[in-house]
Amino acid sequence: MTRVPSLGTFTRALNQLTASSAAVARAQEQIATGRRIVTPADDPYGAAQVLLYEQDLAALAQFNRNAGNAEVRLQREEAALGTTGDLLQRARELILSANSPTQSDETRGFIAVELREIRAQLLDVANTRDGRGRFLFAGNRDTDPPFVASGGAVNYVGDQGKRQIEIGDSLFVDAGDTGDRLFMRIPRANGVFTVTPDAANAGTGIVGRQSVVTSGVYTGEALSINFLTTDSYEVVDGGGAAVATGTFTPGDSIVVNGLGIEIDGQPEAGDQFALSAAGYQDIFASLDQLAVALDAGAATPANRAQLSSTLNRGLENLDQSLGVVLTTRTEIGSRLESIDAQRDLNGGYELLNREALADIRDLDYTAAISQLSQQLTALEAAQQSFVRIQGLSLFDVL
Amino acid sequence: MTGFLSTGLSALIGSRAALDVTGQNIANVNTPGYSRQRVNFVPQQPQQRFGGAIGNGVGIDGLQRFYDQFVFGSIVEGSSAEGRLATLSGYSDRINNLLADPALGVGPSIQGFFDALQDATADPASAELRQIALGQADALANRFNRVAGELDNINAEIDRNLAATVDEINGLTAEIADLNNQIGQRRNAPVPPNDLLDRRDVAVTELAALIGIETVEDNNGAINIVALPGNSLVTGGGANSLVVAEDPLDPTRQVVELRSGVSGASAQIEPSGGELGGLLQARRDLVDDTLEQLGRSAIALATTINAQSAEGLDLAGNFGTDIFQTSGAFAARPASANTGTGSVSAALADLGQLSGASYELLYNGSTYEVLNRADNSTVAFTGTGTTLDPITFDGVSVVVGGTPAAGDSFAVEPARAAAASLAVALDDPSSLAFAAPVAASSALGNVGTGAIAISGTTDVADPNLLATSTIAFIDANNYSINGAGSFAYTDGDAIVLNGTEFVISGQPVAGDQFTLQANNNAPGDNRNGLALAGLRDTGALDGGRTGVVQSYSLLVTDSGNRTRNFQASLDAQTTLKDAALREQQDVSGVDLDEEAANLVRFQQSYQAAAQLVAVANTLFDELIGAVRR
Repeated sequence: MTRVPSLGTFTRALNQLTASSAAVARAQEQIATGRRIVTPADDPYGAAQVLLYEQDLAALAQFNRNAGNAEVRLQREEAALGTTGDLLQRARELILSANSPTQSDETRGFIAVELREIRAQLLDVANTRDGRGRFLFAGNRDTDPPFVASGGAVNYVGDQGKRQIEIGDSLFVDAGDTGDRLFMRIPRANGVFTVTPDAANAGTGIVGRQSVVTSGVYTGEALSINFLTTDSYEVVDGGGAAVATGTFTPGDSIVVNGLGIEIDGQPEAGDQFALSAAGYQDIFASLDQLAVALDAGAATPANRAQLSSTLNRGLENLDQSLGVVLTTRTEIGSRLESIDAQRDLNGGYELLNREALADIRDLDYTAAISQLSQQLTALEAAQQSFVRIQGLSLFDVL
Repeated sequence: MTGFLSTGLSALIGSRAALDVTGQNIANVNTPGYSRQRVNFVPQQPQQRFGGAIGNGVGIDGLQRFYDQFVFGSIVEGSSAEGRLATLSGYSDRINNLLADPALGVGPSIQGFFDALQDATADPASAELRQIALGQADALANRFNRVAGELDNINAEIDRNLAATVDEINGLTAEIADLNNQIGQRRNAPVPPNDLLDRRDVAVTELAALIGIETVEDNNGAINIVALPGNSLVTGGGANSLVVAEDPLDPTRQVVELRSGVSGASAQIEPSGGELGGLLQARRDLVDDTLEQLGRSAIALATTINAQSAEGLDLAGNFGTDIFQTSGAFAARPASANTGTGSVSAALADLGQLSGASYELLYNGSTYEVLNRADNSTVAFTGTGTTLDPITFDGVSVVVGGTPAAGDSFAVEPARAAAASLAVALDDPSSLAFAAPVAASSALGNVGTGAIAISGTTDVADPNLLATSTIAFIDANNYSINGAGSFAYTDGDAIVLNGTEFVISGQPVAGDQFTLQANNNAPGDNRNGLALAGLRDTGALDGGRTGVVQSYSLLVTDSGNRTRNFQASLDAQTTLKDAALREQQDVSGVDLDEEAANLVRFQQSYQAAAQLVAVANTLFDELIGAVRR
């Protein structure tokens, strides 16, 4: 026969009651917080994963913020380059009209004034700031205006440092371009060589189209095309040695070292045309040269020919500059696109992380509530049986 | 006739005693440790009468105390284990909540600091963004400080609890020794000292909950108590007392010593069970371990960030200084009991090997030994302790100065106080070194398509790092440096010059020039800022496998695991102890129904015995009446 010790029975029943109400309290806490894992001890492995996902989410949010910062800068740059393109286009139209024979010295003077105005506007654009007050095209020296006009020239005082911003895990995007590349280091003429008529030329020879006939032959040496008579010329190198000779008819292209030089009009004997590697020139200097040439006037046919040559080269310089602007705008477009793509990707990761996080950390309410009601039933049953059993005593019936 | 009366009387006395004991049982139904008793009856020695042996009534053969020594043993054992686990579980739960609390934990503030660095890379010249980065650094340091402060508070609480527990233990051991004495004296008395035995069992059970013990009963009925792993607490009627004393290796904390009741000498002991063992283990395995892991994260953060900061230039063009400081890291001190004049200093040798543990350096007069203080295991080391050849182990280097004596020991605590002392060392936001030290540029007049890009700093200590260098191309395939030499050019190959690594790509032509120069006046340069922000995920610890953020996550996971394990062990132990208690109750507990039935039974037997006396009286009267007639 088993004895039923009173204190032991009581303690046991009480322990069971306590355990039941602890389970109810825990289920209630889960439901109140909406979380399956209230502290890491509830599920250490799950809690570790939750931490990892939360860190990932925080990093993704930061990458998206970074992407926003990069985007603002690139959009500003895109707008500034749009304006630059418009200004250069306007300058190009002015040069085309200035090259017309109907222009007088006076009207050319007006054009020179407008070109100088365009140059000033371009300088403003080149000193554009980003949304935060930094100079967009200054490289890393972005607290001071990178383009400084002095002594008629414009100097670039920024540096060549490119701002990179992290928009994905170890994925960096260039958040800007430096002014030296955009405004200063513009290839001259066709980018390979340029031909300049000698200031003392007496004829009306105009340097027209310059082209590379056979690429790779010309290696940057300086040459001079010297007209021996009105219809013959020789090409000499820097040392004075003849490289080529030929006969000339106005409108002909002289071909030497793989280069084709079209000369319109009629050069006189003794006229010289200097050929050199194109090199680079900043857009401000190019505009300045054009304005100076237009201001100089075209009193004689020889002067007109000089002006025409200068305007032809200036047009090419503007086209090079426009080319740089266009290329850069295309680059900016593709960077903005990659920012968008990365943001989409980040968003995708974020969604996946959130789902995974919810799976691990968040509570399945349906299951939790049905479990809670089960536990409550168990608790009530335990309470009722406790009261009934504790009420049983032989003393009651004595 | 007198035999009949005395038989009735003995029955009366016996029933009365049984009723008394039943009453005692009922009265003590809720008394902890009470063992139910029963009166054992024996028939009295019979007398030879009427040609036979007729019984002489009933005698009382003592009070039986229902008691099972084995069950008691498992209760003692269970109490020790439960006391230890309850203490451990309680502290580990607190630490777990502390680390995981989003309002307190370090995790979110690490993220906040690196986020602020990322934000600053978008506009490194911005004073506001720099200020925010510095503010986040401060918040991060504060968070480390607060968590470490909470852990220090827990340690202080453990110290107080040690003292209180030791007092309680001393009270109980004195009581047990006293009871041993009394029980010894009353051992052979006619009435067994059941009440004293019960009281002693209660005291022993209470003692077991406080400290892990083993009990042995000697021939005199005294219980001898040995504190595990093997220090005598009670021997017969004498007790040794415990005292708390300053830890010789760490004056800020207390250890437990056993003071001999005979000689008065005391020596440090490491009790292993009960609340006291739990407190010591909680301090060693939970609080100190967490402090050390946290400190290791703080050291990793400060070391990697400071090293990267030193590779950059601030707004004034100066090399970056330390962003964080951990003045409490790499603490080392001689033990208070040292007799020599040896002094000790510790420093970081290799972050990748740093374990965070605390050590004891022992000197035996000729050689050193390094012990890990968490488990007293021997740690392999190299070196002799001189400045040129420091003792190096687990990424820590230790230099011993002065003259240590044989038997001296030194405490080396690389990480324990690091988190509490983490602070921001910069107060000027413009001193944040976001710029790289060197800038590269290509000359505006370059004709070729060559481009130069710096890939990094290989040696920030190079004396010529900031010198201006010109790389000029002699022809398409060769270049000179600062006008001297002729080096073959390969498109895209890395070139290292004056501590800077850079790459020239594309096709430069003769006369093209590239320049490396000090990156002065470049407030917008974010290259070092990007490198700083990138440290969030860079492995620094555990041979480069664990980054700062990860090291903290690991700590949280560890803590969660421990808490869960302790909780599970405690639950299991409680179940075991409850089972033992149930067994004990089954043997020793009072069943009120049984007592009620006994009450009825003994009342009836008392009535019957009274009837016997009455009958004897009647018989006597009959006899007297017959004689008188």
